[in-house]
Amino acid sequence: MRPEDGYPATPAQRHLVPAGIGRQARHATRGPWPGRNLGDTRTALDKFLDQPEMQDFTAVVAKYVISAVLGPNPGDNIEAITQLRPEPFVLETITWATDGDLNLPPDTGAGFPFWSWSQQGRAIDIKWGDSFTTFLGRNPSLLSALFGDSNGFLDLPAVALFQGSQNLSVELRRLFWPFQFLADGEPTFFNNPRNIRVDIVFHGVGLLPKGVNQSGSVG
Amino acid sequence: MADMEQANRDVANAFRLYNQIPAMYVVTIPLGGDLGTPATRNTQLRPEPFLCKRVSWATTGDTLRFYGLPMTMNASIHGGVVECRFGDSFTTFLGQNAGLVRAVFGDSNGFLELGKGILLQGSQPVEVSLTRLAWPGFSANDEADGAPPAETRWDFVFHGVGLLPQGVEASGAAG
Repeated sequence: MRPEDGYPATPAQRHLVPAGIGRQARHATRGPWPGRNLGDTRTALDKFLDQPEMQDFTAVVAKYVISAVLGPNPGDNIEAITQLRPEPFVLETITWATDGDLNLPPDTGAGFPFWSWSQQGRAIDIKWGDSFTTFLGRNPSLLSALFGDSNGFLDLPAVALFQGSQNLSVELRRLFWPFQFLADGEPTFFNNPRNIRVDIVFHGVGLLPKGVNQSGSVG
Repeated sequence: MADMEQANRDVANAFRLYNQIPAMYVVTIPLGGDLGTPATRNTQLRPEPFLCKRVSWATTGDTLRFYGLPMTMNASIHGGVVECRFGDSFTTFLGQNAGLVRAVFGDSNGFLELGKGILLQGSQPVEVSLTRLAWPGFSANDEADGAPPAETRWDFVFHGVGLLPQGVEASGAAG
């Protein structure tokens, strides 16, 4: 068991660590992982920051969260935004999750929300962009189709550079409530329609002038 | 792994004169519950060339509502009963042989990397065609059960980079 395969490092505990690098390997575009990866040990972000024009910047870790509450009825939609800090933001990875895939009290049902993937991600579509660009054009996409399933994360094939002091926005639209099955031929809700929270996190770096190590600092 | 790294270096060298911006294209297909009738949709690429590096997909059919079985599955149910073809104006990528969606694109628990990538000319459609082979269900006491056949939505997302001339930072920009 290699140390880089995750924490804790014992084989018996490995499957209990969803954040372990070994489990995320299949979603990563970098790293010397066998199997489903591009085999390149340098990320798109590494290559972007290696450019001569990037040498005048200090790159600091940046993460922005967009949190949206979406209703349960077909056609319910929500647009949520987050304001970027003043410095440019270089986006590398997107992750997301929802509490809508959980069976929360006082829902009735057998109480085994043991899903292998997101049900809600297949019943909601999404558009996303900034002030300048709608990344999917006119065509929304199922959430699970666009960002991969909520079991991991998605590295972008090339980084996206965003001007600071603008909004990142996400628009979600519900197609249907997914937790419905037939019991004795009658539609039954496994867990009841309710508002759900969807969080989408944009990970990357902020570009600060050389010598400025903290966002918001004047010098 | 060494071959993949060399492939990536080859790709990087081949396109080093271009600005590469992230690009995502979505093809959405409503597929009916009846068997054997193909459904085809396309999306129009922007003017710049598109280097496709990854395809991800999902379907509304893989929700309880459409397979009607109150259990979890570890793999796409509908992806195993629908076959696909995909291509652009010039190339039918699977030739004459359609493939099950799960087989071609990997299961919808993740996504499929294309290695060196597929270079697609701009200003043309990328097309996906689906044909339903069966409606999945389950049987209890020799009687078919589960959700009745219905239309499901299938989204295929082609991820990659758009290749813009040096100095051009946004698609559609004049200079």
